[in-house]
Amino acid sequence: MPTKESKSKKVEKVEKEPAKAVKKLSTTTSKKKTTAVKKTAEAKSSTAKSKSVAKKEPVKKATTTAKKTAKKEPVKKAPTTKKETKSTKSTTKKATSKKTVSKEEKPKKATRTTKKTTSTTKKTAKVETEKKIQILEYYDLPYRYNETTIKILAQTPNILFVYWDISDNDRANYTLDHGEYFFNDTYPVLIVHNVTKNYSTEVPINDFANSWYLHLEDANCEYKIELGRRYKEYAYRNPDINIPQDNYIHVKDSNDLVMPNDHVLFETIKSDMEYRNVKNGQSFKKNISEIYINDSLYTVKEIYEKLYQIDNITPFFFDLSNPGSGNPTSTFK
Amino acid sequence: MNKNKGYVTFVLHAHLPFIHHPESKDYLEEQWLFEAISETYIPLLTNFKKLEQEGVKFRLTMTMTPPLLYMLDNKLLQERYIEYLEKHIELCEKEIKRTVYDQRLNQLSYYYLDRYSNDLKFFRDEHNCNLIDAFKYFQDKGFLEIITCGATHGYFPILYLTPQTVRAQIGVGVQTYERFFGKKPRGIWLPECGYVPEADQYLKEFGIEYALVESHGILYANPAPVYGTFAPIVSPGGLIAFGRDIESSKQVWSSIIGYPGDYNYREFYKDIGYEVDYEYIKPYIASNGARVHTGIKYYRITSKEGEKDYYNPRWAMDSAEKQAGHFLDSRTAQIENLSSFMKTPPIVVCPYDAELYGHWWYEGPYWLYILFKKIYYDDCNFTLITPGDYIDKHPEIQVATPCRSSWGANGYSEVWLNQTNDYVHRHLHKAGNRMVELAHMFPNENDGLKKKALDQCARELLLAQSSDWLFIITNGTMVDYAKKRIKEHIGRFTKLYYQIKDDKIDEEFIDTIYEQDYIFHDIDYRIYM
Repeated sequence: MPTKESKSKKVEKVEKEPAKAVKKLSTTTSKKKTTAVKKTAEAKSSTAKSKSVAKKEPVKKATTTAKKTAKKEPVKKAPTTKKETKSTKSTTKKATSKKTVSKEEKPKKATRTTKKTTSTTKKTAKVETEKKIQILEYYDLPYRYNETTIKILAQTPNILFVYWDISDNDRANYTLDHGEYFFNDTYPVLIVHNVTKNYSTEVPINDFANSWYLHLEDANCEYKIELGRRYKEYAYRNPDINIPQDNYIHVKDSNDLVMPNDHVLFETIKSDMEYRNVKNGQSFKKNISEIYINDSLYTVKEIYEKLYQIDNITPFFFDLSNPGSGNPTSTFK
Repeated sequence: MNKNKGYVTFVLHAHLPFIHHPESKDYLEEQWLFEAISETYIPLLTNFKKLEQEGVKFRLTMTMTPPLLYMLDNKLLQERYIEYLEKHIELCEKEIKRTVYDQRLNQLSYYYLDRYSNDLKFFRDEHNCNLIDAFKYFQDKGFLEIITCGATHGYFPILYLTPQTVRAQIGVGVQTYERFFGKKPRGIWLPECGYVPEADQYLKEFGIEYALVESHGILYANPAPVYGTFAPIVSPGGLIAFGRDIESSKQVWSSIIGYPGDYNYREFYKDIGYEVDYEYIKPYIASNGARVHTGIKYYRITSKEGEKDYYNPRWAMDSAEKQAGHFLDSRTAQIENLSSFMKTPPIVVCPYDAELYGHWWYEGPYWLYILFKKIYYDDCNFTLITPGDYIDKHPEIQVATPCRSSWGANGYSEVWLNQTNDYVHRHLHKAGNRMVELAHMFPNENDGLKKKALDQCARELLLAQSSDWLFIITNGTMVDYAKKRIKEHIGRFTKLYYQIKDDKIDEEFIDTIYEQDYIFHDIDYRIYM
């Protein structure tokens, strides 16, 4: 559990940062074609903020603290001279990340208190005291779980949501392996593998974010995303840094994800359709000519035009906006 | 006319998130249940009863989700509903005095007094506070096919990264169904119609035969189904999927062209809670003094803009009757066309939120009553059927994998995954993984206290996963409450997780939170193995 002191310290540090962080993020992301939706540091923090716990807000603080950790990097980058001595810069960063660890998801205490309910009766003015044992609870979501992870989900057929984190342990190991300034000298990248069509694209991201929305060209394909890091350009000018040949350090692979399909798959129709009798489990084929009453119809496209009474139906014809979705069905649902 | 040319299946999805606060009466959210009982569940049951008494045969499918069942079964909530009704009756009596200056208004006050008094009689005196049995009666009599849902309406396309959490949603959903209905459910309403093929194996494991999916769950299936949404498909994994019909959905659902927008229908937004003198209404609104809906509404929609006229129940019934006729004619024409191209009788699937009927569309239950009567007596070319009956009659089904889809805005996951609520998902995933970890850590726990803690963990996880919290955050309605619930359940889960791992279980803490999260009494955490 972080002490009050450490919390207030962080707040001070943090307060200077968000404006800068957001600015930097937006310039970075504007260059990226593949990034359709970006999440700013501020947006993230404000989401986590709950009105009812306004004064507590550890989520917000914590998030921005993490950004703070990363935010130090540009300061360090600033010198243009090739010789960068690294010895003096390490401690502050480590200290910060240490604090972050200590902040990691400790469950809040449930305090047991005795609550007194007082009620007054008019005639006797007698005060009755009812004692009631209650467990008062206060919870907040941990800002992070301090584990190396990357998970992907489909938002739409073409927009993928990804979130990630690198544990402090792993961070420490990377700095052990690659030098103390590893996280300053490198930037994170997401390598998006389209497994179905066998191609990959790369999205440079930054250390201010811990989630992202990616726009994908191809729906209905299997994807996997790799979180990795690449050395920044200036690192090449520093002979002390040992940059791998492909300038890539792998961090973690995501889960596999199949994006939803977004159109009628007319192209998948064969003349023999597979059927199953669900009562006895038997599978069999039906020829398309057995399926329709009207023999002049041969394609599913044609039958769809007849069933839905639409001329020139296209695979993307159907309107998916649920008619109920814009509807105030009720105040509660 | 030949009534066997095709089928229409109505599916009403009755669901509310689990809201239970024994610690306070100040939670407005608790009233969602009471509003739904008075405006939807009792009117539906009353109309079913009328149909039965009039000898009208009808078939209908309804989901009753586990949180709803546990709330309907909850003694405290039943008592509070009675208090709610008594308070409303008191208000109606005051209204009769207040509106004496205007005869039309005064008649409406009497109308509401009747309604709430009848609700009390129906609920307390006739059904002994047991609405579950009232619905079960119609299932046992062959009018209703009740299906189940995910345990807490957890949205599978987000949860499935930890497959056991989807398995538990399904398993506990089925278990709850058996507890209240004494048999296994044949079908499931996938929470938010959220379909992922990864769930098929668990649905099959728990004996689920069919599910309802959104239109493009079928239309975008692989391969493209030959009959579109007018015949079910079966996934390679063995789940039969019925897809929502587009045309009939729009007729009922659409806020622009849909039936509920008729000018004679009751105006939802003009409620005396917001309109009458503050001091007068104060005892009947929120305890913090905020004006809220009371359910007493005196106006009809009248027009899109301008002055509103008083509600006239007779006119509203006339409109409902006309619209039922229109719906019948539309389906007859639709099925006439469909059946001329199909060798199996087409099925038109009409799924709706149950609470649309009555709560929002006040005349909806009456519309349904008239429609069912018309289908039975009038000249039409189709019969009402349930998905289960359809499968029994037409077991030969095309094999295709349904498309990953939902019935939310734009058809995929935007409602439950967007910039307002995406911060939640990592916590849901992490807690899911931790639950699986605990289950594997204690595969056969004999220690009573530890088992109790593990079971409570499972309850807290399930409650955190409810898709309603994410929806509310997106919708911007009761955001603070939804966020509080997510924090509470994840918080309680995490606290217990550490207590179990550290072997420092606080039994009093478990007892306290169990009293609040009073649901899934038979749960066994090993479902997460």
